[in-house]
Parts: sequence; structure tokens; C-alpha cells
Amino acid sequence: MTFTHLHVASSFSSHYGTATPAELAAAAAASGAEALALTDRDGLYGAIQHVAACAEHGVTPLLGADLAVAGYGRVTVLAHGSADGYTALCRAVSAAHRGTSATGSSPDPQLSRETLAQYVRGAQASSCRLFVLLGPESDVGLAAAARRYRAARTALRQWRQALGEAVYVELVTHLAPPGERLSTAHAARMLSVAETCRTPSVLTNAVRLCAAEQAATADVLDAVRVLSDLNSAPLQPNDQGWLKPPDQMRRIAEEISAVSTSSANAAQILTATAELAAACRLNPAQHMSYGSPKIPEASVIGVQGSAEAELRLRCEQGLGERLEEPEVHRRLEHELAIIADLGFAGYFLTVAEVADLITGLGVRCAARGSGVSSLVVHALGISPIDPLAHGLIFERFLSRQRTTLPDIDLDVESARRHEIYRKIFERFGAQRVTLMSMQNAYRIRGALRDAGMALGMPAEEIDQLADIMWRFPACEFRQALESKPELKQLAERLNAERLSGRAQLDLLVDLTERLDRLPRHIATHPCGVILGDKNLLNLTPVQPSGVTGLPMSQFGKDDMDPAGFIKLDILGVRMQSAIAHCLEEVERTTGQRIDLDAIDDEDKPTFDLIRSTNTLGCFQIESPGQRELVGKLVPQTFEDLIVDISLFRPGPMGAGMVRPYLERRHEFEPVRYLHPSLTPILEETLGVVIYHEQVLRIFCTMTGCGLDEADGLRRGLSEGDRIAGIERFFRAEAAEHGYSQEVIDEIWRQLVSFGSFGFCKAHAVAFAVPTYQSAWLKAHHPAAFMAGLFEHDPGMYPLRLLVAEARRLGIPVLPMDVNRSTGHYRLEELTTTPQAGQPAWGIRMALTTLKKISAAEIRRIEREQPFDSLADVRDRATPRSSTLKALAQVGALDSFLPEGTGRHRRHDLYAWIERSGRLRAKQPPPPQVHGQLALPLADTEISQLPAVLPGPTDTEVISTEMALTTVDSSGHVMSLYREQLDAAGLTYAEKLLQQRSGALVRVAGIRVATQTPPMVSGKRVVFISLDDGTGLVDLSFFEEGQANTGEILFTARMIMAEGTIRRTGPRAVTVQATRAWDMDDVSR
Amino acid sequence: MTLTAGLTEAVEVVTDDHGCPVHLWWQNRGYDVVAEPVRWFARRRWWIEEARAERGRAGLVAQEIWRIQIQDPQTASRSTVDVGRSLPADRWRLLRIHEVPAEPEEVE
Repeated sequence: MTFTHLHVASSFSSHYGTATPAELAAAAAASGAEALALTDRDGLYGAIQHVAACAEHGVTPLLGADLAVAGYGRVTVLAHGSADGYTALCRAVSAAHRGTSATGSSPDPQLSRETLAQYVRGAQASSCRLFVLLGPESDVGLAAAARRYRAARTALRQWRQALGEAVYVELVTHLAPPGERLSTAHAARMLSVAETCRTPSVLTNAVRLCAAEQAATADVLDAVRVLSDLNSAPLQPNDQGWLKPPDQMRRIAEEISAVSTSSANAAQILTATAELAAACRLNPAQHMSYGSPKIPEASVIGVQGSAEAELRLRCEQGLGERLEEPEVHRRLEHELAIIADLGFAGYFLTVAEVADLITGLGVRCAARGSGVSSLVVHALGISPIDPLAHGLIFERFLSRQRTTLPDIDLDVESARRHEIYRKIFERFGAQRVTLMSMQNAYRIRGALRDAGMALGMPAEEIDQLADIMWRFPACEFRQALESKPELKQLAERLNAERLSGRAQLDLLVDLTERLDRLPRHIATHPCGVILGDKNLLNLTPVQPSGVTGLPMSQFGKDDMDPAGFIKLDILGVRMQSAIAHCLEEVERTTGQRIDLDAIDDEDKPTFDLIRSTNTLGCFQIESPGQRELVGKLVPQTFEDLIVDISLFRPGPMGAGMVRPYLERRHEFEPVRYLHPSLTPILEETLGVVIYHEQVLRIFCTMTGCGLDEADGLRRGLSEGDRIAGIERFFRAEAAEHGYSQEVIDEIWRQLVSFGSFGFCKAHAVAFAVPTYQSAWLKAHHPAAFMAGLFEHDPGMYPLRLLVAEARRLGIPVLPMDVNRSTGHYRLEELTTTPQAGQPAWGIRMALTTLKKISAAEIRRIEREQPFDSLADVRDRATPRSSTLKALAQVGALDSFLPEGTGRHRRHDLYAWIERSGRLRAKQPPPPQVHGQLALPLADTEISQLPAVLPGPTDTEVISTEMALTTVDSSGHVMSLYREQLDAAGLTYAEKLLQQRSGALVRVAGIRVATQTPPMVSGKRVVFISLDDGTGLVDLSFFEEGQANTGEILFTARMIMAEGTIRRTGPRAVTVQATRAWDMDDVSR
Repeated sequence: MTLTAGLTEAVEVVTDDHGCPVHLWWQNRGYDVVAEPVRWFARRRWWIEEARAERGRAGLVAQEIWRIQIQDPQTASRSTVDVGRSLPADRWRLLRIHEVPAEPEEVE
């Protein structure tokens, strides 16, 4: 006998279920199940994984959802095993989310019984598209739990009236203590009620665990769900909500019928369960169109004839004269033939349409990803990159052998992403488009916080512990306690507690490990847009996204390909917005319009800047690691940038490709090619295998396989179980093609060690374009470029470091001024006439720099500018008193102070605002006459301001700025520590390059970046960058340095460190730290 | 009336293939289990009672409890007792002795 579980929650029922769909399907299969349902709470989040896992285990999938019905409790809704059934389920789930929102204070999803009834009834009145199971959490079940039999029967009759044959009673016992909720008696009462009302009963186990051992995890989730601790939260009665095997379920059926007075026996209950399961069996391909690509109809984008013909026409138009080059012509025909075979012409036309929409909005747009490998993509104007010029291979993107759907990514200005999304919805119709979602899963810090909350630990203690945790998998917490120096103190505390008989920290570690990777909440994916045909919303449930007014699918990135959804990645890239802002500022101030696609790609000032490693703010090459690599690599050409970007990736770095390449580049090691046939392939990287494209060509050349097959082999290199087969094939075929054993051995060694870790050159080329563009702008228009960076903060560094960089470049940073600052960072012509060699433009700090100012206040200030007095600001811009005071404190009101006094009167001004604010609060506000202009009276209020208080000192000014704004714009935060620093004998960043290698130094600064990149050795190295006001100090902490520094490694903001100078290239120097302190600790 | 929890003591229980008690050894005397036993799983406050809660630990959250009627084969006197099974060690303890045999709930 088998048993089908009809009510199963996976971990996608967030803060409820504990097992992944894959675990559940595997367990069901192991117990001999023929079918398995997944019915997550409020959604189908795990549906695609469930279908895939069931297919893998030879189990038939059933799908449903556990939904709240307004006023009637929670019920299990199961889809009938048909396309109509699945569609009704998707629509019902979407309906339950109508009226919710993606923000924190959203009402819980629920639907009315009337709405549910609409989806239940099919086209024919007799057939049900959905079945509704009334279990322990339904109104019927709640009444039965309270032994209110009559109420239970009345409730059930109402359900029958509303939904007819679709209604089932769901019997559940978790074998709770006699008489309690989820006890066998509870189920027996339900059975009696069902019999009285002539409603069929089915048995489920309301599963939320794969095995009983997961129950402690579920307890923690129960507590966290209600933001409470284990002592006070309502918890599950015990650990019995697990996926029990058939014999145990049969026994449960027997126990229920034994206790019940009903005439129904166990066999009848189990038969009814099996019959309902049979009616719900889904055929994913037929009922969910699982696996078939869903593309917008060609007619939507205005194509009347065949999509193939249209695509050809547009490509030919796009390529124009270049078609006469035989190579171009051949490549186009090759790509078009593959696209036609796969039926993807409509997809390419759709992406082209989207790219046109974006450029039509005047938004910067750049293609990214392997799609850049396609000449068709280039010809359609989606990507400016000519794949032939860089040796990019179409098969890396799409081939007859590639079973995945094509994926073209577009980078757009981040600030305008939502505008683009709305345009796409408008253009294709809301029924064909939805955003994609993503599940945020527990990681170490979140897991620790929630485990701590469940244990009832004080919030401050949890916060302190969470701050020490640095990027390791939560499930390895206990291991990390032993190996990570920053956790040493915690480990000691844990041992001390254990000795004294307390266990809270031990439990904290265990529970944190248990939460690892469980989904926490769903969010809008940062870039995925799903495009389909008019049936899209029949195939995916949707709910409100974080983008106002637009829905998102309940499915995520990994669901797209197996299910056959086509997604377009439209990624908001802040660098594109920064570049756009820069270009606008150049045009606004000089009238010059720059076409970045037309700039010289061998520009000397640009490469000089890159080689100087002063690349802060440049796309992709600003991190400490990249600056070091750029310093060693010394790029001369655009191709060098491509190599640089490819090398600075986890794969190539982890596989140790960097060193051999650099050794050969600087001629410390001779360049050798193992075989003349490989020379043209490996020439561009001096014989080192770096690019995926090179691996493809090597396979192709040495075995005679096609490029499509070669890409399959390349992907196989990272799948452990395929390597042996690939090696056999490679050795046999290469020998057949006349390669010597020695060459085969060596090349295979390189392929195996490097092949799966390399980087796709197409990606690197796509990255290199904005890298070069940003460097070009920094070299030629530094002020406008820095304004763009300030405005959109695109990189890894905080604004305060970018301001320091502007200062270093000699660009005047103009302080916030209520009469001149706006909501944006703008260039402003300096009032003093510049002398030769001095800049004519400064950057005016934006009002947004003030931490607590509101968008409405900024709008009012912008609208009413200029102001002639403090009173004028108060009357017309009506800022909140706190904002006005903050403006005074940071000097934004200095211009109203008597000529020449400036900041020396700031304290008086602040005191006056505070005093007069209090007086005003006591009086009724003066009547405002609409349209009345403020009289340009002399500012008597300010001119008569009594001079009482001394002006702020330099350090006061800076600490005020640090407190009220995001940046220390008038000086450097380091000056707050002057006394401490003067005594320390520091070496500043600007002097580090002059130090000899091995010299001992002491450095200090504010932390601006922390990184732990993958290392060849596998050992963790922590890189911390400090800004000391003269530049960046890059610190590296190896084992000893980490151990000596301990807990503050990842927590201290102001750091002082000792170490030795390590020179790694002509412009590259790091300090290998032996220990570091928290400067705020020392000063205390 | 039941004994307080503090007075639990170790017993030996013989079970059938389904884990259902059929025989009980208590203070060196053997008892037969008569009548249909009732079982349930009772929650444990494991975060207070236990020092560890690592993944995979069995019997952390709940304890299996059987309410059984036992008969002394020599005297034929019957009593109702609750016995609990503890995992992972798989040990049994006598939890309560009922003076008045508890009747199962009548379901209307």
C-alpha cells in the first residue's frame, strides 16, 4: 500500500517549514510513495523545485497551497490534475495576494470564500478545478478543537453550500496529548462532523518537517514568526508533523477510526485519500507547460509574417556594408540557422524591442553576459560589442546542444530602472510581463539574530555577537569557533559557560546552524523581468513587488530555465547612472555632448590614469585587490583590461592563473606553446588558459568536435561525475588527431585544473567597456565624473572616501548651502577667477547629504530658492525645526550670518533657532496669505543676533559633519584623533610608496573596505583598506595578524595597525599587518 | 489523581513490532499490558532541559507517552499507568500511576 501526502509545507513556507522540496521528494520516494503534494503557505514558491525533484525521483507531483480564507481560517487548496486546475491554483494564489504589499506593514495574504469559489468552479458546473481541504486550522477544525460540534457542522455545511463537491474534510493527528489540538480525538471529532454532513474525509499529516529531528528548527521558526521567544510563543504541540511512511499513516487512520463513533473505517479514509490524490496528479509538461519556452507573440511587437524572416531583415539592416565581409556573412548565417532551429527568433526580436524601448527613453543601456558573444545581438543594436573583433564564440551563448534558454542581460542606469519596467509592462501588456522574485535565505548574521531572539537573549548582546560574524556559512558556526581568530573570545566564553553549567551559547550555536539557508522572506529580484505570451499569469502566481504597482512572480531565477520561462535581466547599474550624471553635468556646464561609444580606445591619458592605480571610482578596477593587480599588470590596451578583469575573478584567482600570466607578461618566464595548433588560441593570454572561449577552441581543435559539443565538455569539467568520461573522450580523440602523449597529458592537466575555473571572455569584454569609459571620464572630466560618483555612489567605497579623492584631485568641494545646494551634486562655477592650472568648477554638496532631511523638504527648498534670510527659509521652505537646526550646524545657513563672520557665529545661530523655535511652538502659527511674497527686508533677526558663544573648532565642525551628514566634507575625520596620532609615529598613505619592502610601519585611518577574496592556498586573508586623509592604506591580515587582532577585525571603524611593507609592483604596496587596534578603544 | 513528575522511575518495557508496549517490568515484577493502550507525544521544553540542540538530535522536542492498563499476573489487580520513552537512548520511565482509570474521550 502506498500513501500520498496531500498537505506538505516545505521551507518555502517561510518561518514554518523546515525541509527543501528536494528533501521531501527524496524521502517520499524512499518510503515508496507514487505521488507527493507540495502545498506551501500562501504560495507556489517551491512548485518548480517540487516538480523537478519529483521527476528526479519518479514521483508524480501534486500542487496546492495552504491559504487563508477571510473569516474561515486556513485551508489546503489542491489543484485538479489538469491545465485548468493548475491555472485556477495560480490565479487563486495571486488573488490571495491582491491588496498585500511588499513593504513591512502589509496585510497577510487571504482571499474571500466567494473568490475561491470562482476559481473552484470550472467551465462545466460538474467539474472542480480546485479541491478545498478543511483541516485543523479551518473554521471547522477550530470549532472541533473546542468541541463545538454544532458550530463545526454549521461551518462545514456553509462550505458545502459555497463550494459543493470540492470540499473535503482533512483529518490530521500529530498525536498530541489526549483532547488537545492536533490530538487523535481532534481528528476523530472532525471525522464525525464530516460523516454527519456527508462530506468525504481524507487523511493528511499536515507535514512541516521531513523528519521528527527537524522539530527543534520548527520551534525556533514558530517563535521567530511571532517575533517572540520559545518560552512565550505558541509552539507546535510536538514533533509529529513529519513526512511519515505509509505504514505509520495507516496506523494513524486506524487510531482515528478506533476513537471515532463514526462508521467510517481506516480503509475508507485511505481510499478517499488515494482517490483525491489520483484526481490531482499533474503532468507538468501538459498541465503547466513545464519546459516549453513561453515567448511573447510576434504580433505584439508588430511582426506580421514569420519571426525568422523579420530577424534576418533587421540583422542585415543592422550590419549594412559589413555583410560583404565573408566572415561576417558566414557568422550571421550560422547564428540565424541555430536560432531558427531552436525557434528563438521571437525572443531575439523581443529583446531588441526592449533595448529600443530603453534607448528610446534616453537611458544608457549596455549588454552584458554571454549574449555579447552573438553577432545577431550586435546587429540588432542590443550590444555595441562586435563579437568577431574579440574572438567571442556564439556557442558559448546558444547552441543546438545547449539545453538552457538564452539569457541576454542589459545593464541600465539604476536610477531609471523602474521607469523602464513600467514601459515594458505598458508595451507588452500586463498579462505578458511580471518581475521575478528571489528568496532571501538565512545567513550567519540573520540566523544568529533570530536564534538569539528565540532563546530570549538580550538584543544588545545579540547585536554585539552578530557584528563579529564575518561571512562564513551559518551551518559551520561551531567549526568557525575553533578556526576563526575573531571568534576566539566567544569560544572562550562558551567554554566558561559550559563549565559553569549554562548552555545558552551552546544552544545559540546549534540553533544558528539549524537556520542556515532556510528562506526568510521573498523579495523582488534586482533585475529579472519575465516575458511571456498572453497566458503567462495562468502559469505563474504573482504578488506585489517592491516596485510600486508592478507584480512579481513567486518563482525565482533557478525556476526559469526548467519551467520554460524567459527572463530578461535588466540590471540597474549605478555606474551607468553615475556616467549619465557626469555626461549631463559636462553638457550643462560646457555645452559639450560626449558620445562615449565613439571615444578613442587607445587614449593615452586614460591608460596613464589606469596605470597610476588611482582608479578609485572606476568600474571594476577600484577595489584594493584590483588596484594591486592593475599595478602589477600595467595595462596598455583595451585587451589588457579584458585580461585584467578576467583574472580578478574567484575562478582564475582560486586556480592560480594570475601568477603565471604576470610572470610571462613581464618576461620573467618564457612563453611556450605546447603545440603549434594551439598558438593562435592561446597567444592572446601568453599561453595561459584564462577564457572559456579558449577551452572551447582547444577541445574543438584537438578532438575535432564542434564548438557546440565543446561547450558541453567545458561545462562538464566542473561536474565531478562527468570528468572521467570527458578525459577518455579527449585522450582518444586527441590521439586520433595526431597529438603526442606528452602534449595530451599536459593539455589535459591544464584543462582540468583551469578549464572549469576560467572566465567567459564575453563577460569580461562587456565589463571592460564601462571600465574604460569611466576611466576616460575620470581622466578628462574629473570634476563632473566625481559629481556623478557622489550622486549615485556606484562602487564599494563610502561617499566620504570619494570626497577625499576629489580633494586629492584638487577639485574644490563646496559646502552645503541652503541657497545653492539642491537635491543633487552639481558642478558650480567658482566665484574667484581661476588662475592658470586651477580648476574653474567645484562640486556643491547636495542637500541629500544631510542624514535626516526628507525628500519633501528638499523639494520645497529647491522650489523656493533663493532665500534672503533665515526667516525667509523658515516661512517659505517650512523645514522641520530639527532640519533647520541641522542645516545651521553643518554651516548651510552661514551665508545669512553677517559678512565675514561665517562659521564663527554658528553656535549663536543654532542657539537662536532653538530658542525662537520654542517660542514659536507656544504661539499659534501666523496666518499665511496665499500668493504673498516675502518682503525683501533686511535680515534684522540675524544682524541683531547677540554674539555670545565662541565658534566651533575645526574638530567640532568635523564631528558635527560626521554626526549629521554622511561625509566629513570640510576636513578629515582623522583630525579628531590628532593627539593619539601625533604620539604614534604614523606613516601616512602618501609616503608608503617610498618605503622599502620589509620596513616596519604604523598606520591608521577610517575603515573604508573589508574583503576576504578566495586564495590559491585556501587560507583566509583579510584585506582592510583605511583612509587616512592622504590616500588609502591597504592592509593584509594573514593568520598571525588575524589572531593578534581578534574580535575587532571586522567591527572597529577607526583602526590603527602595525605591519611590514610589502611591495608587489611598481605602484603596488600593501602593509602586511601583524596586529591592529580599535582607535576608539585606545582613546577611552 | 496522579503521582508528581518528580517521582518518575526507570522501568523496562517490552514492545511489539509496532513499538506498542505489551509487557512491563517494574520493581522486579512483571506486568502484562491489557486493553488497548493510548499513546501521544508530549512536548519538552528542550531549550531549558537540554544543553545541546544540534541538527539530527532525536527526541529533543517531544517524548512518546503510553497510557497503559497493566495487570499483575499473580493478583490480577489492574492499574493504569503512563510510561514515557526517551530517545535517543531508548529508555522507559514510569511517569504516573492513575488511581481511577482514565476513560478515553467520548466523541459525539
